[in-house]
Amino acid sequence: MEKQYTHWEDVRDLLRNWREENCRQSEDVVDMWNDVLANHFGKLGDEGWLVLEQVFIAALDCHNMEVANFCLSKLNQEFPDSLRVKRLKAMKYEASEKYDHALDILDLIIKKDETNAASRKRKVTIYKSQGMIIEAIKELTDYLRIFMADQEAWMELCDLYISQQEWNKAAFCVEELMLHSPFNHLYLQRYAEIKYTQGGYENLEVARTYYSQAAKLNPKNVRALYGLMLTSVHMASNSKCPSQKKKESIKLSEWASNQLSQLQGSNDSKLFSSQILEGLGNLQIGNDSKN
Amino acid sequence: MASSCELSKLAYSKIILHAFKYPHTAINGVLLANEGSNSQSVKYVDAIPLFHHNLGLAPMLEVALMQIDSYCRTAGLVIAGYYHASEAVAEMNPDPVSQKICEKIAEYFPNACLVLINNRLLSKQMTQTSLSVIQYSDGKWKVKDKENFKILPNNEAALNSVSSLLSKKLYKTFVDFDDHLDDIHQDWLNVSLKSMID
Repeated sequence: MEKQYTHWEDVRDLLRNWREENCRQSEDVVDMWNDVLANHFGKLGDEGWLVLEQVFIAALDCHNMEVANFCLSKLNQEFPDSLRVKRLKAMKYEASEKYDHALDILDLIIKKDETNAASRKRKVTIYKSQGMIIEAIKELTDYLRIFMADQEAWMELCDLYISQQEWNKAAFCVEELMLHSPFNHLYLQRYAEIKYTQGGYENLEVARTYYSQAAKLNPKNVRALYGLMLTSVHMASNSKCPSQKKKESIKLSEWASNQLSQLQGSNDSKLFSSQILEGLGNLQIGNDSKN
Repeated sequence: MASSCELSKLAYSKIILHAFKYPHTAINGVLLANEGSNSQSVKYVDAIPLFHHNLGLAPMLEVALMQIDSYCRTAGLVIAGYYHASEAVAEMNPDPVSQKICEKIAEYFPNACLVLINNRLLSKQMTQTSLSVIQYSDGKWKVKDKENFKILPNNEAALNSVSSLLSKKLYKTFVDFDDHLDDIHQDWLNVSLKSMID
């Protein structure tokens, strides 16, 4: 945090921004609360409750239980029967690693309100915190059967499958995301990364296609540009590649390399593409051979 | 015949700063040693932080390793080890991805070490090194005893130095390879940080 925020209105606006963009700046949130906003809480009006919730979660993230308890007690006083506050209580148990207590509260909330998506998702994180990834995946897939449009959940499921090296299932999750948002270059890039990691010539081709589309949608996506170079060079040097595609690959690789040079403002990435040609076969870490 | 393993203050500081910048995700990185190092007693002189998202995906890992390899050749270094911190606070075992990457490193540098961060021992005032080391030799993973693993110049000086860096919140300007991929002008070598650490 470069700028020093001293005015409570600036802090309020910054926190509002972070809430809207779902930023995880927990240390800064707690510091700004302690230094500035806590003394001006009365001036926040109804927004104050949202700020308390935000500071509570940030405090749990920093394991600052004093601030967390203060926020929770204020929220509890104002909204004693609220399911939303009950969920925050469950989060506090989760932060203290009292997972059984947390699960009890969440199950109660879900019983009272079956449409409560946030509580169901917290159950997934409880399993994840304990390293119970299989259970987390099961809980999340059950959740997604009901709440099929939750993109955040599909992305989380994709991450869980990647950690288990279940590439086909991870790819399926990204396919769902691409159906929702076909022009999101990040989803296309992620799909390409999974396909590349799976290995094999056909997956390499698919990866190159998706990297190209991602780079077309956002020529500043560095991962897509590097990925395009990597896949093009691998394809061009593969015996299965017909000569037409080889020429195409070389052109794509050069285009990506130029884009990267422009972004970087230097010629380093031209050097890099010749390094890739040199390094081929030395540092492949994907599952199957690229041949 | 137990082989010894040493970590420079610079490498150790970078590992801890990386962990502090992204406390909520898994992180990983590689460890560098001087070219021609004896793999029986290796000294890691530097660390390059890699990722904090999707550590299991291959393409950006390959890109990173190629760039680091190229840097190493100009600086007279080699990729000789790997470090990792798990996402879950209690997790103390290396995951399959870490093992695979380290086995790959061991193909070029025998007896490569996998340094694991013990999340529970991390704190703003560091009192313990919070690292455990396993080494890949003869196709097997063996845990290294604490007496065969040292931080230079000595554990206490390193801990004090790191605690001072943490109190200045230097982890906020620390750059890993993922940060570089998000903004290509960010320096994954953290050259400006190096002078503050030495």
